[in-house]
Amino acid sequence: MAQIVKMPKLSDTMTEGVVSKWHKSVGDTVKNGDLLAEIETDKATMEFESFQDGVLLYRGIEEGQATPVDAVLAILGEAGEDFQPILDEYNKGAAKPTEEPKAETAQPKAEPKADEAPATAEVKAQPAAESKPAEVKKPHYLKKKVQVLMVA
Amino acid sequence: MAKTKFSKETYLMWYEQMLLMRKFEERAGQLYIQQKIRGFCHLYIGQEAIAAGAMSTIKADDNVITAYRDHVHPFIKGVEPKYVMAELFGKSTGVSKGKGGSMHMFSQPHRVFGGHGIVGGQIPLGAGIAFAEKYKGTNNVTLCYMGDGAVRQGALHEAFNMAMLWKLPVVFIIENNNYAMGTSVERTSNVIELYTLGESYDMPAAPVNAMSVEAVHDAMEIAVAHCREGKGPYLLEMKTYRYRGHSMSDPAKYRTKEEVEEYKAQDPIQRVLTTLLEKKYASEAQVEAINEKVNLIVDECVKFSEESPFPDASELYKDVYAQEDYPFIRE
Repeated sequence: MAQIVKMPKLSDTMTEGVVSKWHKSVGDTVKNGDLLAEIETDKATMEFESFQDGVLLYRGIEEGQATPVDAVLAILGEAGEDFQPILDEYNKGAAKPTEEPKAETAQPKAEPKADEAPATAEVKAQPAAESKPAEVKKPHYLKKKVQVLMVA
Repeated sequence: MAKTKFSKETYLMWYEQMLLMRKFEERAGQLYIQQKIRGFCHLYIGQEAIAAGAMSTIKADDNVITAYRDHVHPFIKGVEPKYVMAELFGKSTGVSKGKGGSMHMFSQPHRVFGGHGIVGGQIPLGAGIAFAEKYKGTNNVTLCYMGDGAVRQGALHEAFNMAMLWKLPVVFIIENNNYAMGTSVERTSNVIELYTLGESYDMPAAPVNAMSVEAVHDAMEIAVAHCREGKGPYLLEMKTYRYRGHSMSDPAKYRTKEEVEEYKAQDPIQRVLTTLLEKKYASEAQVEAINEKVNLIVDECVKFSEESPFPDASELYKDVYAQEDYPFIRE
């Protein structure tokens, strides 16, 4: 049974999202936990993992395009399934008056650049090689008092 | 330290409880992006061994207080998950009557004192609860949880000093997941082995590998017994990791994917599952039965929350001030 994947609300203030990268193509099998797309919100670019299983039947927007929260992002179902009825029904329903035209006329953004993302997304990844839980250094002055409770 | 031998039943309980925490939080994350849960939402995914290891060491009258990554701490004290889920939905059947939300899980009968949104605010409160227990002459212990960011708050030092001075029965538990939002422990202080802060107050302290539920249990057992015997507070630094961002809107770009994978390879739930199968404590079929049971519980949580009503408008001013005619309240 085909199911609609809506544009998720990935931050409390997000009203629309841009798909900056699709990680699945139509016809691909998608499993719960698979990375479906990278979505640019008002705050940052977030990875969106599917929480549904199925074959990707339809992508609602292309890379670089925006669509409102709750509009159709994708449809998952069984291979070869006809998704048109469920898509029509959804678009007729809740998302109609303001959101529908917007979803169709959304302007493709010219290549969303990484440097357009807000500052939070730009913090450089820090290698944290020293922060493994299994490696605890015991300062010399603590040797008597501290019981080391590490279990491998 | 001698390693405790754990029974088959304990391992089965740990597996089921940790899996429940994980599935509950995964579902909460999904419901958040579907806007069933609104506001803030901080998930516990990856840190489950800390809560599960405490479950096997405390008793019903002990107290729990924590910060805002608090969805699973009520489980430690036996709160049914559906009441926590209903709270996330903002429904009147929630533990805080739908008026607290994600960061404010309270249950007076279960002695769960929150759920606090102010970073480090719960540290002196936890010491205060322990003071009350000592004053009343009980032998109840208070578990006071905090993140590695909260450790850098000034209130911690005053609370530690007084807790030690008055020998209060409180276990201070640092859930060190390496990042205070996006700021690594190394970037906030020269003291990166957080348990060593106890030394300033002669408070016994220890680091714990919190990716291992056995290690958490052993450490908690020592610390809780120390408090219960009236010897004063104890500090434990649980070295853990969160797999998700700080909150739902955090893309976690401050760390590498390799680092996350490194921790996922030590997953506490997977470790317990491996033990269950290797020691033949459970068959594949029994594990599958537990997995199904957990999924059903989470489904039931969501159904219960969906079907519960939102709080009535008349609830707005209730439980805000103890004094009923408080001047700020105008009907």
